Amino acid sequence: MKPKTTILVLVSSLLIAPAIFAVVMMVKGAEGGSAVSKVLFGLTVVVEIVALVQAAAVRKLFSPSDRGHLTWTLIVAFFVVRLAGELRLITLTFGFIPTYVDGGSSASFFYVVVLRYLYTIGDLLFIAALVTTVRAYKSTGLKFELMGRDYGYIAFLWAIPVATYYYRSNLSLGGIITTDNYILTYRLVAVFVGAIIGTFCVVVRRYVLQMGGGAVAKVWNTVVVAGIARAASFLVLALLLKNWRSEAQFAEQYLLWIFSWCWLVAALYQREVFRYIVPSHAGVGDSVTLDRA
Amino acid sequence: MRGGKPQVEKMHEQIVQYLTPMLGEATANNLLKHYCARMRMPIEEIGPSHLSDLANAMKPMLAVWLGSAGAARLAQELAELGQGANKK
Repeated sequence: MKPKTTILVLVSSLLIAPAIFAVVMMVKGAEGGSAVSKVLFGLTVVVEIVALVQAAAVRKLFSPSDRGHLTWTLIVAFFVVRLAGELRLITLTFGFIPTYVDGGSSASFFYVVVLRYLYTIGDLLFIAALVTTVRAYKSTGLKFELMGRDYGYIAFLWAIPVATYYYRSNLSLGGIITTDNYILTYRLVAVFVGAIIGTFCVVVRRYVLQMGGGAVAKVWNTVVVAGIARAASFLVLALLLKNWRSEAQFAEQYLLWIFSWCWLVAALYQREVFRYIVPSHAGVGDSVTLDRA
Repeated sequence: MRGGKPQVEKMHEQIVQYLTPMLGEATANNLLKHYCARMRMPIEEIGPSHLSDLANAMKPMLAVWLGSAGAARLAQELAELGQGANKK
């Protein structure tokens, strides 16, 4: 699996998926559109599993004493927690377990409402990975610093949760499954966490730009795109959900699709860095052989 | 310069050229300047005999991005740039 091929597949899917959604919406209406979002969700989970496998392989390439080892351990943990959350959402989305209704059992409340926060825990691990990356850049002692305009971007990012809070009534309905009243709190938390992710992405992006290109920069540039897609998914839902429910569901899933692919590409780029420097240490004999064939 | 085609002649340019695909041009330049300053040596005066020390000094910083195995390999190849120059 090569990053360039992966990017090509992603770009193609970014054109094909909205086209399919538009056609299905025209032919079958909102219900059909919702079904397309569910299929895209299922495919996103598959990509996340592949990304987890690749991230775990990258983690093994670092020695335990390396800073990169901690960063990629956090990334792997983020994916494990996120996939646990996705598994829960699959059972609810495809009707294996009924959704929670007010006054339902404690078990149902725990499964549907409490376990929803697995995504938040996952996002906190993502933030921790970004923090370790920022610290790694700073530890070099080289001149990596924010510019004035970055503070402007960060201020803009923090306007998003504030605006979302202001329009919070938009968030109480929707998503790809029927939701309960507790979803509002979760989405407000999520949008604030998204702003934190976005903030660290701005910092990492600036440092990456200051590297002036190179293979390492490609890895973190891709992670930044993933982070921005994640943060944007919350925003899109907040802006569109009230008036364009199906479109909001699809747009959210479309951004999460980008998010999962970017993680996969980032892990592949990182493996390519190792393959380039230490072919014998790539630790992925079969895969390297296949890629080179 | 040979045959009118520009060619890297100076050692510091060779080092930057070697590090750039991994770390980017700006980082490669900054890294070299950083260590030359630390070794109190003008960047233009780097010679093959300095490469081994320079490569060893750079290892911890390279390990931040490339891991210790990657940094060791890169440092070794950097030192070998000097051996190649000596052979010439």
